[in-house]
Amino acid sequence: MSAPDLLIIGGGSTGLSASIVARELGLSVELLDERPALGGNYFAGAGNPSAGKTKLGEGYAQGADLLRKANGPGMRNGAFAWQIEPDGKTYFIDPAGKVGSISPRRLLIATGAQERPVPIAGALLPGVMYAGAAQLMLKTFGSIPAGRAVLVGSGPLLLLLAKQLLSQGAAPAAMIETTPRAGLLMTATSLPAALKVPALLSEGLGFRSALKKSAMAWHRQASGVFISGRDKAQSVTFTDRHGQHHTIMADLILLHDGVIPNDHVARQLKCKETWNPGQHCFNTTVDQWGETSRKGIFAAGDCTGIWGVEAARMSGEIAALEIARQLGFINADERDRRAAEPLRQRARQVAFRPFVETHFPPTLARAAFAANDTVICRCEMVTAGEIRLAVRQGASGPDQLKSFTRCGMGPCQGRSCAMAVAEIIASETGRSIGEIGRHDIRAPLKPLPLGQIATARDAAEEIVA
Amino acid sequence: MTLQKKPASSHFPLYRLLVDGPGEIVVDLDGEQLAAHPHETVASVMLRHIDPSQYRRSAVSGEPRAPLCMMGVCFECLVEIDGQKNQQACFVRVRSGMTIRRQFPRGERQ
Amino acid sequence: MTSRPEIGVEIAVIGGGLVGAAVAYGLIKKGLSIVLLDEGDSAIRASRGNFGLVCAAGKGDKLENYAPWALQGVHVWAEFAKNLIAETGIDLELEQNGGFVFCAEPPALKERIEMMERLRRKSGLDFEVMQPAEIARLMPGVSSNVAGAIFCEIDGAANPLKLLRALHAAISATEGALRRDARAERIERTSGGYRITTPAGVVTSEKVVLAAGLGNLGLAKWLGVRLPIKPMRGQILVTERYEPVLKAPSEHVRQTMDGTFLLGGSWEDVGYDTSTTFEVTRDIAARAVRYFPFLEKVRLVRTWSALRILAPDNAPIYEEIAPGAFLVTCHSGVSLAAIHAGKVAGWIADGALPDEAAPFALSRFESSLPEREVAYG
Repeated sequence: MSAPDLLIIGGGSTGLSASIVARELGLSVELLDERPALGGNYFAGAGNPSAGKTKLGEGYAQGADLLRKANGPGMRNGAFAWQIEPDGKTYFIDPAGKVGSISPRRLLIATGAQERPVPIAGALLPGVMYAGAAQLMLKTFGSIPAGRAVLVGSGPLLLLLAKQLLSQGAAPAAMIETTPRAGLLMTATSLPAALKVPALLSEGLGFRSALKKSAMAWHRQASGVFISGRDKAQSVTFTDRHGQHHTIMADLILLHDGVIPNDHVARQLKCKETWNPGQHCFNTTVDQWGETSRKGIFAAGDCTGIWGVEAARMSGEIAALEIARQLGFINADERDRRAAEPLRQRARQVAFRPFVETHFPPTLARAAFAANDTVICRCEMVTAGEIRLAVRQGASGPDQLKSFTRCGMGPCQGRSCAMAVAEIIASETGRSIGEIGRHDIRAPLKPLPLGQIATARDAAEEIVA
Repeated sequence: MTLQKKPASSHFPLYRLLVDGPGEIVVDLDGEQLAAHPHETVASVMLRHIDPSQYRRSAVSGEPRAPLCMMGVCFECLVEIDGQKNQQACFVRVRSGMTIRRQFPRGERQ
Repeated sequence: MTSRPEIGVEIAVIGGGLVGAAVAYGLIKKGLSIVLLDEGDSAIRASRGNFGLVCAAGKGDKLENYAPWALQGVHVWAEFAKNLIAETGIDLELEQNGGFVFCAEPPALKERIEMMERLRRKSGLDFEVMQPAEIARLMPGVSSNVAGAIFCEIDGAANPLKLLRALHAAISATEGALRRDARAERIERTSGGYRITTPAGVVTSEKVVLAAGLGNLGLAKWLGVRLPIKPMRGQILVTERYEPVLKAPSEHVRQTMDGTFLLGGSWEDVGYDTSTTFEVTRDIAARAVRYFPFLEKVRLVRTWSALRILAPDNAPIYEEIAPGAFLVTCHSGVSLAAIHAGKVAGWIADGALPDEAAPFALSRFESSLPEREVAYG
């Protein structure tokens, strides 16, 4: 059995940064990541030697460096945590399919972000993917769209993807940007903070000018988007800012409407959370060090809220420092000394965030406006109309709604539908999304064979030391 | 819709490699041998070879589905790998000799 | 938020789970003006932990008069389902092909046979003893590593979630009959009956039905009555969909009409803790795989737990605990749904419990005889 000082769930930039700091201070660290390679989203493919062929530069060297520093015993790829107990004991399944468990003294959740689900008509068709998926294809597998790619939605990541594809000679055929005009005007409160990080500002402006010069057809302030096709995506239709309808043929449609925390682990543990109206998502409640409402359980990075990759990495380091103090490896003064710079950098990043949030509010993802026949729960084929009917028939909250409609009962456990469900219930009942919340998350966090659990009896006997 | 082993006229994979190379790993997809590179996952290889409408059928609706997120969140990339059904292809790295079977219900539940 | 005006009805039913909803549905059918007060999503909701069995086998082990009642409950289910489906269009997925209770080892089988014989003498419930080869006709894939099973032809199962949904749909078809987010915070006795305070407004009624499961403990206190019920946790596992294989349910393993397998059968005395544990998950999985080896490759999709409402003899309690205040509690909300919507609703509508209800009175629990102090408001 394994009983390290610290177990980290998630091997992206946040988890890796935390593991480096913790090890430096003498803690025994184990890390679980469900992907075949570490690096998460931001540093996806950084461990892949052939990835150097795609000259994405920038963070790449940083990623490879981080992976090298973090490498060591206790880093488990392809291992996913499927049940976590309130004391931090974590059951996982390894690449060979065997159940194992780890009983750490402290747990750090660093599970990152996921794409904000976009429940629009036609989104279920093959050939529709998220912008992040295309980025992963590029960064990790050196693969680009083979046919006509159309980018649809809003957000810095969408613009970044367009620029990345352009730089690889694979410019998208079109971009249908749904960012509203109102967001393009900077708010008086966000501008001063934004100006403190001019690099980020100019990066954003740099994207736009490069894209304007390319052959990509760029439609702004679009709305009323839906996708059509028989057996696969064939076209995307939208209404332009003058009210005109347009249909664009496409082989690959890449959707994006921002990212939200991937917080299933924190929810399974019933960590407290609050609704963040600026980010339009739930944030796991943590103190400045990253400790959640459950003592001994920390959360850091995008899984707690979206403040950018630098803020996420800093949070990983900050959490590791406090964990080291709690376990007696350093004292409070040492922790404060080491945390001063990361805290300062994080504060700067956090201050800049409202600029991004105001600029890019969710658009496609606003399910309250979805037509009745739009499928909200992909796994169980539950439509917006069925959800509205169930609410009228007595389902006042997401758990009862799940029980009435099967929405959220599929293998993804609501990863694709929970936000939309909250929006629809809020719209039907007049209560806020924050009050409505999301349904309870239950173990296992991902499906696994009964036989593996049943025979874990032997492993469990070893585990009880 | 029947399972197609040979590419049809509307066969059009979603992705291609930036730099095409021989691909030293060989996997079996429904009897067809596909070349893959060491860091690829089953999902990335399939998206480079098959038409998206031929990837999978939903267990509930029977309609065609294909990967959406490539990061383990959507559960649309499910395939049978070496006899184990419902594997998330986006998480499984290719290995020589691997057998991949697509999941098309055909009257049978997935 | 504007305060809602007081509403007045003939009967207020507190608790929108399977028991309260069935009673409320039955009362509406009898033409009474009612309101069903449902706490909503934050409720303990034992109904979510129901396995869905519609069965009589084994009922009455500790209270023999429960046996004929349970049997009657199963007999009236088909008619109840037919009406509810016709009214709401919601398929309850009722199957009545018989039901099994497995016994892994011979001593357990012997004990179970003795119990079933005792109950047969009391209620006439017929049963057979089957070996794996025979069990396999209705439950293919069953292992030979099972001593045997009891089979009752009249038993079966339904979908408890659809049942609750159908009841809610039928009730909400009557304007104002279903009030949600309406946790009963206080009950007061008045000259005209009762006054119930909820976040969704105040309700005055001539009679009240306490059908709030474990919530009845607090509610009964308002009426000066102590109840001998306690929570008993049950954990349930559900798998991914699978091709239809099992044609009848067993107590711990059944296949739903969606193709998923439900696995259960744990009993833990842990107070109000509704978390799930690895050990119990593993034990339930191990037993299921032992009984049906093919389940080894089938994937677990979710575990959850719920708190049964248990009386000391595992049987229902039907009692008028104060004038016009009727207590209805049990841990077989699905099996008894039909008879709750029928007979029991009828008793409440008539305003008095007949002799038939006597075996289920609160007073049978000598040691926890309540102080009969009723406060007049």
